[in-house]
Amino acid sequence: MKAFQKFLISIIIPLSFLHAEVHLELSREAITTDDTVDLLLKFESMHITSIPRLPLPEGLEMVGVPRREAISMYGVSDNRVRYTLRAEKPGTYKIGPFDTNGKAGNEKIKAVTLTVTQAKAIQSTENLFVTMESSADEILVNETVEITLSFYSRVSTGKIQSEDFEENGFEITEFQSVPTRPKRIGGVEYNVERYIAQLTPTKTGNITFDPNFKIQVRERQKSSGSYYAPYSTRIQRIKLKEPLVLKVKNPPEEGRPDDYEGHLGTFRLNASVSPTKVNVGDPITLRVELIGSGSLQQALPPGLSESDDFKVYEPKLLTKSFRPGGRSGQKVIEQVVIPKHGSVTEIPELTFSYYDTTSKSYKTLKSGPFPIEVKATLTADDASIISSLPSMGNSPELTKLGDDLIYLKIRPGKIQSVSTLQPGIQFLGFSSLPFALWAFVGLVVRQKHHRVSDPSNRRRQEAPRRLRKHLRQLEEKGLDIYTRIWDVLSEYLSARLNLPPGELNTQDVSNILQEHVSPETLKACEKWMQKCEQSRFAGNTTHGNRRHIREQFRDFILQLDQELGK
Amino acid sequence: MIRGILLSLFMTTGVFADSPFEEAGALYDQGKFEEALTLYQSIEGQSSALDYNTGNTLMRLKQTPEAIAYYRRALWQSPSDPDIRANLNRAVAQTETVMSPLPFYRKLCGFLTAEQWQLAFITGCWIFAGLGIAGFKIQALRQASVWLFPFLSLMILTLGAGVWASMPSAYADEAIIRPDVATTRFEPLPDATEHFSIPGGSVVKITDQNRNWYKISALDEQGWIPADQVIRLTELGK
Repeated sequence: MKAFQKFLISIIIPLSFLHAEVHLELSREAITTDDTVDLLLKFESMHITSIPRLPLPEGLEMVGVPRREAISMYGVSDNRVRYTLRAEKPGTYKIGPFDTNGKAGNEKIKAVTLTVTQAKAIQSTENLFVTMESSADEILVNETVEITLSFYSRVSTGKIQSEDFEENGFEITEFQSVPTRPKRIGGVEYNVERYIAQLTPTKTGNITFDPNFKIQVRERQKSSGSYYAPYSTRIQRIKLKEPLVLKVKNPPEEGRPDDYEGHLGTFRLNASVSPTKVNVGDPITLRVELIGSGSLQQALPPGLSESDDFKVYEPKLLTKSFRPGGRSGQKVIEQVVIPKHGSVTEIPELTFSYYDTTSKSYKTLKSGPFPIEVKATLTADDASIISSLPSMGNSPELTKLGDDLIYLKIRPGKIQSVSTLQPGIQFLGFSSLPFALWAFVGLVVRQKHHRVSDPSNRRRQEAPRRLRKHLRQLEEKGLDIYTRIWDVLSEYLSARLNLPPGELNTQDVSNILQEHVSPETLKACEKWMQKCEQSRFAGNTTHGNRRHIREQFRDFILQLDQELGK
Repeated sequence: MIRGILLSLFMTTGVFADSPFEEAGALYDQGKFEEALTLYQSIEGQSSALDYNTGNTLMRLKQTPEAIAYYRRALWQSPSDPDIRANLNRAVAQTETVMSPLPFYRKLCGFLTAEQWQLAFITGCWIFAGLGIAGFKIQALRQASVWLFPFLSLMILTLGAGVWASMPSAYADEAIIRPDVATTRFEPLPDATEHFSIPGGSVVKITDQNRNWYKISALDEQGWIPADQVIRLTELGK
């Protein structure tokens, strides 16, 4: 034990928060020797780094390995460790308490008690059968018992469907699956699926359960006989191995208190009053707590009734907490009471009577009376006003009557045709348009960049513009006309054809131009180049009108530019 | 202008049918469930609220498998709606079947509707391309493209996945079993060998079709079932 404490402390203390809590909880308080039960070690608002080893009482053993689970909400983490336990022998096992003695608030992990009963012996040779058992064969009205439904199978089964129980004379909760181990019956191991529910009879008599079940059974097809034959699923109808009969009777009449209202179990009653010194007409809060197990679901802590001394208001249910299974827990009410006159000296005793199913006798719990000081400061008229306030009396607590559908939606939302929800051509268009635009802009930018970054291309692009500028310079006087024409022609052709200006000759130009211009233009080009060369090497050979020559050259060069630009 | 175009794209087909919707709700309140159902089913188009209310009305009429189908389609449209989940679970509990959960990807993208995903995707495309165009002019954007391009690509892929997951075609192969217990066969023939049985209200996947028979997948098995024994989510209200 000490080793465990040290170990637990070493884990918890460094990682604890101020309001951290540690406690134990059992998924069921009573099981049979066939069952397993989950023990939860809960660390609220606390992180743990490893799983503590719990010292278990003799006779209890752990199944498998503990599993750590974490729930995080709003930045606060609750950690818990789930231990699966089983007992080989029937008995009452007390697990804990464990004292952490830590800085985190001296948490003391309270003990929990597990009751283990001997599982009933079963004889059967069937492949599939169902049993239904109750924790007691004879029960009292309003006493809650546990009903266990067990499916034993030696074949592969699937979903189980059950016909609804006709709830006549009892209330029953939903069946919950519980962990169970395989069971050997007649030397053969059966898989067991077990479900439990809480049943509470509401009237005397016999309750008989004999429901039908539909179970999916998976089998290999017999026709094939092969190991690899496919499975087929069929639905098998099945009844209980033996019907379950419960005898329900009333608690004995002998010794029944006058205020007995049908409650059963074991209870404790606590009550307090605040404030205790008041004036007439001031409210006093009466807080009553009922703790226990049994018919707590139906019970309500006692309150004060209207009287000549007190004006009372409807009790308000503050807390309603039940342990798993719903058979034990706590209910707390608060009731506002107002003293009507100054001669009131106490709040009367509160009583709660029940039938103790353990001692098989009636018991009456009492709390109070509670002494109070009431100062009379009101006039007779004021007192009459208090008396005339609406009397609330004791009204039944708010109970959830049923589980129903959540109501209709008030707003329809946007109602659309399915074709709108399915992306269509518009969607594709709107989503692809920006990329097409991007590609277009990219193309433009690339062309621009190419033009700027390539000198030969730039010269070629700029050649027509420069040609027109040079043609205007032809009109200037001075120099031989053919010298000027040669300057214009050579610069244009070298720029357009990407040739070095100093190495321009008729042969190279003809070779290139013959693929891009008409034969007439090519011939004219050759002619003009020859004339220029003659002029350059033979001196001034200008014949005819200088203006006429200029016009002829202009016509030729513009025609050449037009054809090269195509 | 862009806003106008987008609004026209997404709003023109949306019809606010307050009047018949509210009228059907009033009939439901009066307990006239048959009339309410007729009115709900007469409303053209679909929304999760409309499917949810139709499901509620069918539950009142004890047509649980049909109600499950409507709830299921409503859940596909609004996976995070707790009301739909609650009522669907209640309907499923009545049939004592086990409802298979929605695919994880639909739950992941359930916080937006189909049209919101489409709008987000288009917006993402424009942002992506806009930054790409701006990158031709802005040197800083070109330098940031090392991380910006993968990020934006991931964003577009994510939004595209959202569009895909929210499309009605995502549940086109889902159907609900109509009778209390349906029996599948090895072949699409009335006298073919029985294969397996499946309880009403179960969600199945349709994997093939042959005239008036559907091949369904459920319980790790596949079998043929008459078309009138399943309710396809895409054919609800038709």
